[in-house]
Amino acid sequence: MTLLLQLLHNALVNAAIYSLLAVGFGLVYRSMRFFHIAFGAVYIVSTYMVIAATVNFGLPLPPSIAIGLLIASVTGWIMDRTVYFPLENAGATPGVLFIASLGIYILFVNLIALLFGNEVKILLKGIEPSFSIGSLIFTRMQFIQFAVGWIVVLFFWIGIRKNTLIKGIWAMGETPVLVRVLGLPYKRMRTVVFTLSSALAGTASILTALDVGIDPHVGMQALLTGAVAVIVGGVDVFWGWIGGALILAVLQSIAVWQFSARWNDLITFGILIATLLLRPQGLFSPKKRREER
Amino acid sequence: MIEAKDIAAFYGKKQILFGTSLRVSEGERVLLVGPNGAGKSTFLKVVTGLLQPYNGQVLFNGQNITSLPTEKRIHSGIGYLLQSENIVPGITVDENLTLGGYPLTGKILSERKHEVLEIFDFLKDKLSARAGYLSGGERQALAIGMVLMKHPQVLLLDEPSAGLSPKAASQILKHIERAQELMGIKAICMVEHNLKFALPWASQIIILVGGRVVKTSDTPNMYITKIEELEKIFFHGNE
Repeated sequence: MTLLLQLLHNALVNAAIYSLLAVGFGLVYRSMRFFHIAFGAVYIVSTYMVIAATVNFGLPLPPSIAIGLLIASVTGWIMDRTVYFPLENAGATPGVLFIASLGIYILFVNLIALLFGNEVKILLKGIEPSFSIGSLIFTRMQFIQFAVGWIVVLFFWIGIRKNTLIKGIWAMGETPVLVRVLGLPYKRMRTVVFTLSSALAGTASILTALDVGIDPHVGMQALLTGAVAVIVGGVDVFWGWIGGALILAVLQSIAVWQFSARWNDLITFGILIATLLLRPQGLFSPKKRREER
Repeated sequence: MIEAKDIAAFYGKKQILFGTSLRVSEGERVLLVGPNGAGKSTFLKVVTGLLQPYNGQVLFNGQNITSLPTEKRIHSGIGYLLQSENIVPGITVDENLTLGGYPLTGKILSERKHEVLEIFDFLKDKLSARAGYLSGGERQALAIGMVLMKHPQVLLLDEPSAGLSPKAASQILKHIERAQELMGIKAICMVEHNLKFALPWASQIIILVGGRVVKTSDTPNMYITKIEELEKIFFHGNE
């Protein structure tokens, strides 16, 4: 029982990070309807900028984290303004945007590997202090990951409910032309989408790297985790993304408990394939009228 | 109010409008008709900035708006009802109206919603319903309501009766007339295939064929007796 509780607790911590990835990825996928692979590039850029600020410039960690998040957000925005937006204006299909995004991802991974090396970089050295509540043990970093992850998710949900611009972003994926003829600021909404998505990727990346470090190739894993959570939960439901992240984290924890962490990818993609085959609209998507499909 | 001069427009390499000129003046109810592919919807897209013309000018209240983005044209007083995908199905009716009113907030936003719901009172009970679950007539009412939220000076309607039963279509027209009265809409330009439904409403008819204006008349009622003849031309060509 204690072991199960500990696994559930670990799953909730992982789900907080997965939720950040799901919201970050889902924001672009839901509003722009294309697979933003370069999300994985932004993910690594943020943490490597923190490393550059602390190691190369000797800055303390908190301002370095702020710099990392800022650079990640600006990077996402630049990707849109220099690649996606011009391509869309030229009539590019989602497939073309996908290839362009893959190109950006490969470019960034190689650049980071060239500048910082391929080996794992550690942000925090030493052993993390740990606490216990009853029989449950958790580290300081797990507590930070849990708190930051869920608070950000909660704020985002409030934003969707209260902020008209975020509602507009939500609408953009369903009715992109309507958003323009209602006089909503299309370019500004794109800016919000890409900066916010990149900031969320950066937050997940830094929180993870503070715990286990980073190498230039982890971006793809992060991207796929976010994408699977969104698709499994349902692209059109915000809480579906979070539900997808939770299911993924819980099943991975059970797999670790029963088998080994080596089987995590099998779990991730097994759920994805099962969902696509049995309920392609996602587990939490509401029923749609035929006209909406 | 709105004047388009010598508009030439393309979709890719295919030319749709060939030096089309037309004017919608204050107080007019213009009915824009023509066969499929005549360029009626394309014309509305050019006026609203969704499609940039290759040649020509669009003037609104005497000002050249040809290079303005859609967003600015809408905020300057042009309201545009799209033919399809004119509501957001995944959010509630109330949220759709909020989007229509952007950037209005607080008391003004509530007042505008109240005004719109006075016209479409059957939506009052459905404010928290998902818009995708509305019936065809209710969806079209919501779509028009969203456009009215900004109190446009000119209303451009692209087939408001599309997919509706004759009864629902005539009700929509009554609602549009009421909105014009209550909100002081100065002019309306409507693209419509359903001539029986729209001709009695119009004060001017413009017939567009092959991207060119072939006829403009200030006495659309005289066409009521020729509806079958017109529809034959529109749907089967001038054989």
